[in-house]
Amino acid sequence: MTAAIPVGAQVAKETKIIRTGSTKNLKLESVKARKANGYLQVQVTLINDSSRTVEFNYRFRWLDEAGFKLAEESWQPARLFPGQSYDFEGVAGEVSATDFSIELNGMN
Amino acid sequence: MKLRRYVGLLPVIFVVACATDSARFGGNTVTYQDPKGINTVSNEFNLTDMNNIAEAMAKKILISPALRDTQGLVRIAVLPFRNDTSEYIKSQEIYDKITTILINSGKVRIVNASNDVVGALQAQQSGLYNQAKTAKIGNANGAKFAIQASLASMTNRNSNMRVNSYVFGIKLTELETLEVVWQEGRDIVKSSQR
Repeated sequence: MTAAIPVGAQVAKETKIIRTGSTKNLKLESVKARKANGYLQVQVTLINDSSRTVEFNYRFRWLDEAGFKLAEESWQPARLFPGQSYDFEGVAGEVSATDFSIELNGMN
Repeated sequence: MKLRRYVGLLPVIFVVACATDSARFGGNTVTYQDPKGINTVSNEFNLTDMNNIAEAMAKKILISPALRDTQGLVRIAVLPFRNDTSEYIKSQEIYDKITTILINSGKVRIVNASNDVVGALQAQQSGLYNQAKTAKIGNANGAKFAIQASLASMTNRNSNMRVNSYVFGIKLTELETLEVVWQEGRDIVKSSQR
C-alpha cells in the first residue's frame, strides 16, 4: 500500500518519480503537494543539469489511498536548454486521489 | 531431431506473433499507438494537443476560485466553440474531454440545453406520450456559469522551416452578473523542417 502524501509539505522527491529513457541530466529540484478545492495539486521543478538541450516527456498518475491508479494523464512534451529550470504542475481530477507518481521519459 | 525441436517452438512463435501490436494489411504495416502518447507526425493541431489542453483546462477550472466559492454542485453550461484557425478542428471533442473531467470530478454538472435535448423534452409534452410517464417542463436547473472556448492559429514559414502557433483560450462567465470570473489560456508552438 502506498502511504498518502503529507499534503502541504515537500514530499520525498525521487520516490515519486518513475524514470525511463535517458533522464540522468534532469535533476529533480523539488516536488510539492497541497490540496486545492479538495483536489490534490502537485508542483514539480526540474533542472537540466547538463550543457546540452534535453527533450523529455512527463505525465502524472493519480492514485487512491490503497495505491490503485485512478487516472493516467496524457504525455506532455518539454524541452530544456542547458541549465534551465522548469516548473510543471498537475491536479488530480478526483477528490479521492491522495497520492501520485510522475513518469519522466527522456528522449535524448 | 532438429526439426522436432523447432516444431516444439511453434506454439511460442504463434503466441509472440499474436502479442505484437503490428499487422500487415495490403502491404502497409499497421501499428496501434498509445492514444495518450505524443503525435509528431505533422505540426497541425492533433489529439495530443487536444488531450493536453483539455486536461489542463478542466483541472484549472476545478481549482479556480469561482468553483471554490460555490457551495454544493456547480452547474455549468457550454457555449459554442470559436474556431479561428484555418483548420477543421473537432471542437466538440475538446469540450467533451473537458466536460468528462468536470463531471467525473463529482463537483460539476453540465446543463445541456441543446436544441436536441430541449426538443426531446418538448416532444414528450405532445399527445404522443403517456403523460403520467413523461419528463415535465419547468424542472431544469439553470447553470450558474457558462464556459466559452476559442482556438486561434498563426503560421510562419520560410524556405527551411514552418511554425504553427495555436492559442487556446477559455473563460468562465457567471450568468447572473455576466462577469467573467475566471479565464485561462494555453499556447502551443510546433515547428517542422521542410
